[in-house]
Amino acid sequence: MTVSFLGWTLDNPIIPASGTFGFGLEYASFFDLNQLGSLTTKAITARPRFGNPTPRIAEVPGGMLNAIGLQNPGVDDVIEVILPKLAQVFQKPIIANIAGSVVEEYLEVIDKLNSEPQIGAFEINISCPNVQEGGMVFGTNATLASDLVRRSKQHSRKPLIVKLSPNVTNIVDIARAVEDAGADALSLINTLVGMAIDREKARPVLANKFGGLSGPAIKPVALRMVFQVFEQVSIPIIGMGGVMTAEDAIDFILAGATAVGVGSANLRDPFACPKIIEALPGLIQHLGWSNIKSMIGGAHEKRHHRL
Amino acid sequence: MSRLVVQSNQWFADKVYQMVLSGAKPHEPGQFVMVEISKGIDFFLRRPFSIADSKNDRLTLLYKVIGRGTSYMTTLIPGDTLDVLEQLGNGFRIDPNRQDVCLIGGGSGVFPLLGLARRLHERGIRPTAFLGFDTKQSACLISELSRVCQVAITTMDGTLGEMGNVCLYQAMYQHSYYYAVGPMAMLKAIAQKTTNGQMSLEERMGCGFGACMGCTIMTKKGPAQICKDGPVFSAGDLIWE
Repeated sequence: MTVSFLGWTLDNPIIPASGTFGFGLEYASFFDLNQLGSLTTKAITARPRFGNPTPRIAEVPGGMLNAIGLQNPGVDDVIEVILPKLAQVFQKPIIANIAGSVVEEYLEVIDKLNSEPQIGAFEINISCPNVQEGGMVFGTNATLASDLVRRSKQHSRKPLIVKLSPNVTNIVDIARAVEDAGADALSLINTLVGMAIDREKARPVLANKFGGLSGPAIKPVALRMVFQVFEQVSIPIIGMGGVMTAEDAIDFILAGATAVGVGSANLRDPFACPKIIEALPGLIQHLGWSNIKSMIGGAHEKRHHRL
Repeated sequence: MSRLVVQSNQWFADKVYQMVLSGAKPHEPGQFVMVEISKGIDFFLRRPFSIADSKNDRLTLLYKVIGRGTSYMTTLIPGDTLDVLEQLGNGFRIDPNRQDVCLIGGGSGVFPLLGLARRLHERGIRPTAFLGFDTKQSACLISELSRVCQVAITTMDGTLGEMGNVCLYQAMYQHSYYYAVGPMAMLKAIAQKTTNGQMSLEERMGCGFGACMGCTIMTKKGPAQICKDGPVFSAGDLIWE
């Protein structure tokens, strides 16, 4: 079940995705978080953010829309209050998701979090669709993305994962640009921009009008993007998008993911991650593989020739 | 998380169904549950429901049939099981020394007042309940509440009780404390008269346990999650635009 990722060994490849797991504390009352491979925090910004007005959530067939807007207490509160609490319930390295309106905000958060020993890697969020400034603006422009990653890399004393947006014409271009700029790994995908309409009231359901689509509805898109990017980059990928079951997780690994993010499934079922982790060994065996490592990218033709 | 068994699920009033579940944990008045209404991904998120009453291992939910999800719920039959996240939210705070209280409910906001009224009754408090409905056909819980409180009713069309909106009932402002549940417009109108009470809020929720930040409001004490820090708030802590 172990996989090597960014120089550390994950007990298993399952990692809750940013924004669906808070800072882990709510889930600690449901299960022992140390069962997880790692966990990704909610996006951290330099100053506290309230986020968008409500409604922020809408259910759609096969998933949901969210427009939270990066609500978080700010990096200082995260360091002083949240990380010490998390250390009591989770003893493995975590991935800190970082967001900002401007490049300097990302760098400020990185500088402050650099000395936190719990943090094993940073995940640079260049793909949040729910804020006016920053977020997806960086992730949909290869030049801006690579500039942000290059400067973040100069500041960071930890490995840098870059979380990509699917709301682009060609995700491979962005992936290559951030790899060239020094990214150590990629997370894909963030949510797809969508909307829902309340036809009784004749207006958008979300107060923000648009939100990010997640859930099983986006899994085929996410798989395709992981598959494409895997063939064109040499850094490891955390694959995510609509993972509900161990079967979904295996699909992402076969497409080329080294680790698998579980997102909105956590909201529906707080036990989603431990259930997937429990089911993985039996599924791997059933499919006739000896371990997870050997399955990474297994769905690619080149791999088939190699085998 | 528990698997609860549907004991009954039947029409209760216009567009309102009553579902009784067994195998439940005890709940405080004002707490809520998140119900997974089917196993597939057709209904991706759980639905939050207030609790009309909790006794032994029985949970009584009243739910308004509004959309696809609640329409589907009406098809469940005794013996069906539901995956439910229980004991969510804070519930109403009861001060046994506070005798002169009233309950204010608008529409489906009346539902959680039953459990609260019964709990108050057990503590020797007999409140007055001011209930507002759209029309006579949607009025419910009147006989149940009448056993434990004084009941005053308004309907928007005047088919039952006084005609008009429940928050125009001047008598309720003569009580020294209130528990109010209902639409935001109703709560706002009450809060503008007096903030001496508690209010239970509703919002679309993603998770129900404080992780997704889908139901955040700004209060005088800072950002709060309705699901985890509420759903019951001191009226004086709320901010009205």
